[in-house]
Amino acid sequence: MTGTHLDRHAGSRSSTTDPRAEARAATGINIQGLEKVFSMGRRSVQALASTNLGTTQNSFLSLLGPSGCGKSTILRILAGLETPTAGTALINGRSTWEIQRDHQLGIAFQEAALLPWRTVASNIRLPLEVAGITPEPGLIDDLVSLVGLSGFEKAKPGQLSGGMRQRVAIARCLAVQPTVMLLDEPFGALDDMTRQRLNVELLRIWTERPATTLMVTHGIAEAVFLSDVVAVMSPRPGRIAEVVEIDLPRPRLPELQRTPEFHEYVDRLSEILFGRGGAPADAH
Amino acid sequence: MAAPAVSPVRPAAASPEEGGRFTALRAVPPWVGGIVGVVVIVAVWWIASLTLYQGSGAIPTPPSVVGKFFDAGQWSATLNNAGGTVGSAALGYLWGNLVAIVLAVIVLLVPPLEALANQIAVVSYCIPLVAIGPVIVIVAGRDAPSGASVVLAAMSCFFTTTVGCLLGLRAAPRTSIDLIRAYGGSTWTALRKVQLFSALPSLFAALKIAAPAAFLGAILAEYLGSGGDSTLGRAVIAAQSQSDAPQLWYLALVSGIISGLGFVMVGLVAKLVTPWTTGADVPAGAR
Repeated sequence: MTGTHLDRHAGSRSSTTDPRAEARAATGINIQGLEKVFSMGRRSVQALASTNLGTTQNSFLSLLGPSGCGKSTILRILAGLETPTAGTALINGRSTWEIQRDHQLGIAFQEAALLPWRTVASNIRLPLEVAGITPEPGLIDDLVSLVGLSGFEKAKPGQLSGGMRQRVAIARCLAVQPTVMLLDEPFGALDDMTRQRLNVELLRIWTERPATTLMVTHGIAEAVFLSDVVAVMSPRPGRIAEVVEIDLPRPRLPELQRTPEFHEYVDRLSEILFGRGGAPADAH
Repeated sequence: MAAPAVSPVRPAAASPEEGGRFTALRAVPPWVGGIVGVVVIVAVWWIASLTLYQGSGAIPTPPSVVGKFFDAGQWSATLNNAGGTVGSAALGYLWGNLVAIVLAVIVLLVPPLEALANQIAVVSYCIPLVAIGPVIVIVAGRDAPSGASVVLAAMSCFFTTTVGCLLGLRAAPRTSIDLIRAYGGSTWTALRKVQLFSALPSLFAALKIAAPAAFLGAILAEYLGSGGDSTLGRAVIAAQSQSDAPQLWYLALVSGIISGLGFVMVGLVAKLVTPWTTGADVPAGAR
């Protein structure tokens, strides 16, 4: 891929990280001056330098970057698992607390984090139990078949493969019928083929049930394939290096990954991440 | 990766021979090993009883000890004695574990209390039961005949259960707790939905060890004078005062069997209550 192609297709669409410019359109995720410092005794580590970021409602944002760049910190703040040192974070115009109170948040992690003593159906039901909601009849069955696990409702996590467990985790994430989805490297621990397949499925599910989504990943191709916007982050301290809008048509099919436009985005993101020296071998 | 072509050849050449040897061993069912062990122990015992300590008769022959198991009078007395001891041990087991579990849960909910809890657990573990036993027998002995047995049994299992329960409560995967919290659940919800369950394997491991420990505590208290007349501890004192070696060996065997039964029974309960620990519940894809 050459530089001129990049400039024409992707480069010109890069957004700025200027807070005022972002704030105007930030109807989805809206992060203003977000900062996080972890203190351990006398030492303190700045995990996240002052960060601004905005997306529109029901768009898919990926945070892309090496480990330690603060991408998980942003997700954890949005999930209410960490409190920011400074700044604000809103999703769909509301605070994390309000979203949690109204049970609008779905979350999935790199580890499926299924409870081994519960069946598949019972694991999917867990967020509803925590929320004190009685599921509508058929909801759990629908979710099980949505993620392609019909017939495994009564199976225990110990009987499932890694990919199947992540499918359960995705179904569990959808149990509260969220308007906000936070995905922390949901397929990061899976082998490449399973991961490819689950990305296609995630895209299908997300298209069927739109939600303002934030995904943390270090897979470049998967970020391009799924996202409307990719924010590339860099470490020490964690900050957003560049925001790239992925202007590829939807609905996206797996074939998209073989088009030159797709590869231009992948190359462009690799360049931002690793410089012009070329993409390293471990980039997905 | 790029290993020389010869390297896989050597193990391949050696393997049929070695594989054959191991296959032969593997064909033997596991219980055969157990029987062989018992036979060896009995044989050594028998030889020792016929050759060592002939004068004092400190080592009775196996038949003289095993014969007691088939003596009806002996049996009813033993059952009676064992009933008393097992009763005290069970009560102590219940109390000791209950206090230990409550303490562990409190520590989990109020972390600053951990130092204090650790101190209590360690102190209870460090004081030799034989040393504190007489004190407790004096304090508890008069009105409640088996009070000291219960207390010593409780003390014997308190430490292991506290530690096991705390370890178990902490063994809950961070992500599972994060998940509950992200869905708006409280610390209490996380405890109820996640930690109490993930604590069970570790808790049961501790409870298994606590069963023989409680029995030991009870019999020790009886040996120190607690528990009235019909207890195993008292039977040991009686046999000892008459230098009745076969009776002492018999009582030791009975105590060991009861102790072991307690261990096995808690293990069975653990298998029933925590079936997921037997399966491969470790995420295959996780790093």
